[in-house]
Amino acid sequence: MTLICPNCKKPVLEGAIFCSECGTKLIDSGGLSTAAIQTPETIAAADEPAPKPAAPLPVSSAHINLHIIRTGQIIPLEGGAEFTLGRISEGQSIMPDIDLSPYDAYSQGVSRLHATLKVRDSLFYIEDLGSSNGTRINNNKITPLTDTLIHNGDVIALGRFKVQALIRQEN
Amino acid sequence: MVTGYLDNYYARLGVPHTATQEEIRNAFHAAARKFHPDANKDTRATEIFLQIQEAYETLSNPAKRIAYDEILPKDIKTPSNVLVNTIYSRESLTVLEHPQLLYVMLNIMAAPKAAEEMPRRQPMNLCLVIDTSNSMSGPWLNTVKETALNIVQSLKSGDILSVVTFNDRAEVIIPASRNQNLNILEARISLINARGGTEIFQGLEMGYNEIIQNLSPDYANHIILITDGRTYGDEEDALKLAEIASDQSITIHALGIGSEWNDEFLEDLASSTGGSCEYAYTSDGIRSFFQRKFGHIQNSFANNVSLSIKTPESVTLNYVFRLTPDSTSIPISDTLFLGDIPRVKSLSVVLEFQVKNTPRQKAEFVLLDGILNMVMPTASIPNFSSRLTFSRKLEENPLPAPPPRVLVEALSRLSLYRLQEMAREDIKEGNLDKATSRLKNLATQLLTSGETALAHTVMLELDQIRSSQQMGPDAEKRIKYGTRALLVGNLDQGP
Repeated sequence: MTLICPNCKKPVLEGAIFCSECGTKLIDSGGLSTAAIQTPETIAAADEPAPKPAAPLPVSSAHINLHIIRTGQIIPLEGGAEFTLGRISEGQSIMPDIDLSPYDAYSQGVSRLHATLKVRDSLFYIEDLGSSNGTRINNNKITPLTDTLIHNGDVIALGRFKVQALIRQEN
Repeated sequence: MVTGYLDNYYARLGVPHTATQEEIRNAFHAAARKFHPDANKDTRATEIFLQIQEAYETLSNPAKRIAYDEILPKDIKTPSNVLVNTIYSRESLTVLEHPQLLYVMLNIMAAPKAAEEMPRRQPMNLCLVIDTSNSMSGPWLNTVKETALNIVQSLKSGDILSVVTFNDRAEVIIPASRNQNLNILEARISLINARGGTEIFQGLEMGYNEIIQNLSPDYANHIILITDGRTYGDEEDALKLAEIASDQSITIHALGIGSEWNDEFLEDLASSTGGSCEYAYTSDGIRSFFQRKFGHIQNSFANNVSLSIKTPESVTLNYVFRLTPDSTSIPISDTLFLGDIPRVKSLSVVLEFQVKNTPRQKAEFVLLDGILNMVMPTASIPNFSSRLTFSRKLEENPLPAPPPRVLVEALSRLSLYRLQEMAREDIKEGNLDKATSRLKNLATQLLTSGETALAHTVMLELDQIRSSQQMGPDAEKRIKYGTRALLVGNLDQGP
């Protein structure tokens, strides 16, 4: 049986607690991480009080923040299943959810409606909305108008505007 | 000088009082390989060798050994003032054909009663070795002088202080002695000026010569080296001297100021003696280094803890890191120099073992068979040794259980430090893609744990690596000591 890091997919040795490649926590120490299969046994075995059984988990248990690489700023994205990224300019009828113009988005080639970030079953996807300069994930251009899965740490370039996806899985 | 210091034959060989004849023979052969005049031309090494030989002649002869044991005080035979506690990442190892990892946290502390009975503060035999090369001139040297003056003012009557400065040549500014005239000391320190280059070995050797004049287990024997530059061509000599110093229970600590010094060399130098190397680039950083160092030196319970280790062929000790006091990675060799045990809190070390494969039959599997040595200034015979073994049960299908929380917390911080350490290794091997992917992951982990400033430094460094195939000397240190500071929560944030 070969064990694989759930984040970077590199092999890890049995007994490892953190992935040596990406630093991701590999074990389930009290509380529960999404990497583990949740069974009544593991919940009982955890030395933290088990989560309240009456409260069902919300559909989305993951959060995403965007880290603007050039400036170090962080844009938290909360309270929604879809976020349109772009910039607001005069005379525009449809507004993006997240306006990137304060971050110098225009000169970096971000379109008015550039891309949409979506969350489904705790996974995040990005769809390029047919922007003029395109969208890249880790330097690979993605197909417009198609959902592409993104992972924690991926660098997303909207035109030349680079953000890093910071994804946190929680229960 | 050295004679009279290692006054117990068992400690000279680094074996416990209960050692078997075979262990005594092995310890002697190991020491002889290191210090025999044929292997080591240094006259100081020869001196150590002669002492080891004297010890071996007695202990290897059963009749002489019994006679020698008769005259030994009791407390070497029944030490009870140190508590050792080991925390394993799992209850048992899995019976496996392929490799697996196991983590062990080793905590060594003073027994509560022993700590209480100890005098408030150990007298120290301390030498400051100060770089006075040109580049130090200005605020850095002024702050170092200011802190040196503070030290002078806080000396107690039993303390011994010496000060050595070095640039192209080294000079004893204050020779080692007790109860010196404060006004003269202050005048000498205030006259220190900067000029010339940086030759660390000369300074270190002169500092060592000051320390050994009063070398005694009744003192905490420490050298503190302060530099801002690179030394060229004398690194090997300096490392050899550090090895001899550590065998004589002298600890070397280092402070690198600014970005131009060689952190890998200074780390090796300090950590091979159980000391640590730290980083500062502001006057406040320099001050806080001295404050912490003195706190630790004055409040230690036992000094120069070392662990001689033997592991079976299928077991590799991958990594050793000291969490407290003064976090640092510890070089792996036959003997691990672990540093001092503080009077309160513990000396805590994390070890990572890799087990290549396990036997099928055995129920108990020994990972490490070791001997723990230390110097306790308050004991009638200060050198103390005891046996320490790490072992685990073997099971076909052990029940999965979460590792102890304290170990997971330590490793979560440590994993960040290791990512940067491995990225630097990757760069050295020319593996830039691997290095950048590791650093990218490091930045992500730092951001998720709220360390945005440090994460940003890492992100900016990614571009630097792409354009110049290496890390900048400044960023390299900020990232290294930044991730290490997360383990203890103190950091010179700089301008």
